[in-house]
Amino acid sequence: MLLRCMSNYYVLLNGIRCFSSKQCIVYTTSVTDPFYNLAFEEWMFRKVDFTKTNCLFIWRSQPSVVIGRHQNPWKECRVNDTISDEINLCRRSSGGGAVYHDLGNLNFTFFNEKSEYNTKRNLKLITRGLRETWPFLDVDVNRRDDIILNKRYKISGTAARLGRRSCYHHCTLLVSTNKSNLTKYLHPNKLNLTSIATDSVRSTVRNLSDEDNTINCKNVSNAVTQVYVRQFSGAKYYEIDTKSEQLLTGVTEIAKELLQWEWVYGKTPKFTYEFDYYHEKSEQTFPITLEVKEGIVSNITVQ
Amino acid sequence: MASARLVNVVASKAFKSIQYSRLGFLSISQSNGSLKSFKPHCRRVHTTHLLSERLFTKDHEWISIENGIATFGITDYAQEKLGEVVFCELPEVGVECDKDDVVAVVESVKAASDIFAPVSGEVTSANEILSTSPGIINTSPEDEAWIAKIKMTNDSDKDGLLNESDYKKLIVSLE
Repeated sequence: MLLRCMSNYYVLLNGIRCFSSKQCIVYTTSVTDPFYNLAFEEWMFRKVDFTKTNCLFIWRSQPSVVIGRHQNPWKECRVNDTISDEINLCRRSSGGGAVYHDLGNLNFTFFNEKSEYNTKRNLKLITRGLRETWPFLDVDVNRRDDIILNKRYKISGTAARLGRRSCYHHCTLLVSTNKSNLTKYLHPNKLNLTSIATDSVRSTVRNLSDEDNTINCKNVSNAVTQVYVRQFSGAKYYEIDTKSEQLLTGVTEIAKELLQWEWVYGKTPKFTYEFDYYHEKSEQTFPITLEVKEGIVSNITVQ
Repeated sequence: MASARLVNVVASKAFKSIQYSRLGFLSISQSNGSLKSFKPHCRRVHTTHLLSERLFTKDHEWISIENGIATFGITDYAQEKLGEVVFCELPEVGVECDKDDVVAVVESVKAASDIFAPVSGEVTSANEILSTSPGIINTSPEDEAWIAKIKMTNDSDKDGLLNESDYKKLIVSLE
């Protein structure tokens, strides 16, 4: 059944809301540098007007830990392991918890004007796309905006950024991620860290490819794109080089900001770290408290 | 509060429930994950702020100006739309900002929302209580949860701001 949409009104078309007066653009990229892909998101958020055109950006990263804007990297992962194993450690501009990216994880970024902010709509669009192509998949969206597989496994994490007129909502999707690396690098640190930084909520994870080994990032990307574009009166598709300063003036500057120590580590909300120090010569143990502000030790107390 | 509920089911994915309270106030809620819908409420006003006229921005900030210092925060309407606030990123004291610059960021329900400087000037203080108790933005948005104070460099910045009556009309027009 096809319903005619009236301008500025959403109607239901087989359960999907229709922006029939709007166009959309779907961007994909072969760039897997998370700093540049995150920079591209921020560039779009700052510079593009989404009143007539919505955008969807589908991308993947080399192995990376991506923490939320207000998180503590030392709490969320073993920072020394990520550095020594050459895993990227990124802080994104949106909120939410820590996620692990690799080439088996798909990221979707939905760009809208602020009045259209609706994370559930976007996530249900993804689950609908998955079920249309693989009807046996038991995937659903819970109240925490997680996509859950088989009523048990979390396969997606969500975060968002809201500006004056625009917003974006991005989420991960575990298609064929290396789960042992995910567990290794997203391992919560046992260090005694106290802070008000946003905490991640841990869940058991599973890949879509564990359900059917023919499921891969390419066919999932196509499945979701198909459902996404159906909402609009017209769609364009671009393969974009997110590193291109010529196309995206200012993107390099944003990527550099995201790479800086002051952003990745210095943006950490202040915290205290308590540990026991054993002094060999005197054979005594001293409880030590470090106060850390902007990623730097600002005070040490020895009891 | 006891209420009669009229449930209107539209498709299998979303529903609206219209609730009439005993006092006759209408409240509408939607369960489709969008920003929370309008619930009529009493705006919390405290006597300390009746001394200077309160002004508002279209971005849902309140401003109180005294002796060239503008104290600002977000309105009750804004905090309701945001949901539970878990973190507030405050501006740095001493920093110069222009009107409409992003001067703070509030995180709620996994979303980081920009807060904009209502006037140009120098940030003279930031409310450190929000660093440890960001939740007061939800419980006392227009009193205890002031975000920062700006020493104004341009008195005419306040000309573009809304008075309380115009701000209330704005909220009604958005719903």
